[in-house]
Amino acid sequence: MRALGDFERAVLLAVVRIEDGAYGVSIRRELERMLQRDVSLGAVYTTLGRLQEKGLVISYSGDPTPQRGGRAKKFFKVESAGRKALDQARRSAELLGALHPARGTK
Amino acid sequence: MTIVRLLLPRDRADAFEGDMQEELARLASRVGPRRATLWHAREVALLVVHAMWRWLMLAVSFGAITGTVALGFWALDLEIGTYLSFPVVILALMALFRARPPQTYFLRFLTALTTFMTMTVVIYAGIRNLDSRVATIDLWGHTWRLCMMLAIGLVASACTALMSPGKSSSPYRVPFGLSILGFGAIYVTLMARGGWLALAVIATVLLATANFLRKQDTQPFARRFVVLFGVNAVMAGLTCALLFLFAHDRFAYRAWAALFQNGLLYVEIAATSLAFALLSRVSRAPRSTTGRAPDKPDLDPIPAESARRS
Repeated sequence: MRALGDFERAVLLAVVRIEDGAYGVSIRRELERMLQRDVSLGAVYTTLGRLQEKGLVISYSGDPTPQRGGRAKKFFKVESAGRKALDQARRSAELLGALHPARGTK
Repeated sequence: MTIVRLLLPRDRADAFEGDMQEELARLASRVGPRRATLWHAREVALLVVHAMWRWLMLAVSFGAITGTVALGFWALDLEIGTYLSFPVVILALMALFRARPPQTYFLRFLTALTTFMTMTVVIYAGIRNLDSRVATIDLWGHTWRLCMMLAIGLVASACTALMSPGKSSSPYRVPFGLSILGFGAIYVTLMARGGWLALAVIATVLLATANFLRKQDTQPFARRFVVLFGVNAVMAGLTCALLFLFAHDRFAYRAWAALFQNGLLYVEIAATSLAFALLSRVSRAPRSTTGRAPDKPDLDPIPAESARRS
């Protein structure tokens, strides 16, 4: 399995947290909440494209709405491979965290 | 929003534009239309950066490395290295695009062109500084040479991107790309006085096209013949035109022109197209259109009825 980048992991986590109805705008808002910084929609879309190529997320189209100029939403869902990749990333972070000397102790 | 369609696949570009419109309407009511428009321009600019930077960085580093290696060959008096670097780059890019395909044709094209031009500039600048004969060329001479390389780079990149995997409506993009690349290779080998090598290039291109047609299950024989004939004719025609324009005093052009005049070239094109069309005949069972494996034949040695009777 290819390693996930930091932003890829964040996007994957955002899709997992939203559960149903994760699309560009909602993923972006969730990322801004999680990372406490501005996130561009372009970065979200290119990262989602990469995750889809890696087989970690799948997408399906919704119905077109007039608010969106007659364009359909593209919803994203995390595949089981995506959940595994997130678990693996969490385990690696925990392992590294355990090796890090705790603050304030000698 | 055309730039969005160049950088994202069609369905994702539609969704992106819809999302932008949704956000734009929300922002316009909160901060005013002017700031919302500025936000929109910034978002599109960031999409361009995010979609392109990985590929451009990869292309520049790959082009610089191959250019340096080719220059090394040239410095060792192995001039063939500078010529070989171009097909090597094209093949390497095609392998890369197969392994990790950029999402759109434009991105593939841009990556190929950046690689090609970076390599060309490295080789050109190196030779310009190391070879005393080149130092006498004036600014105009350098300009037209580099423009020529840019034109070749544009054609080669367009073909490389065309032949690499991606959503395409035309099943003939591979034969078309092969014929253009084949023509380039034939011309280069003819210029390097490799007549037999040029024949080997023609055979390789025809074999690759035949193999592609076989894999595509191109069923009517006539269609396979027409595609192969087209590839053959494009290669022969373009080679002849380029030889006429730039090398009409060479033996290669005279030989080629003689073949044209006595009609042997048409016979050769028709005969090889026919041979390769026959060669590309599909001999195995046709692929299942539903994607399921074909039903297994009943291999039970005792039919069910007779087994029940016994």
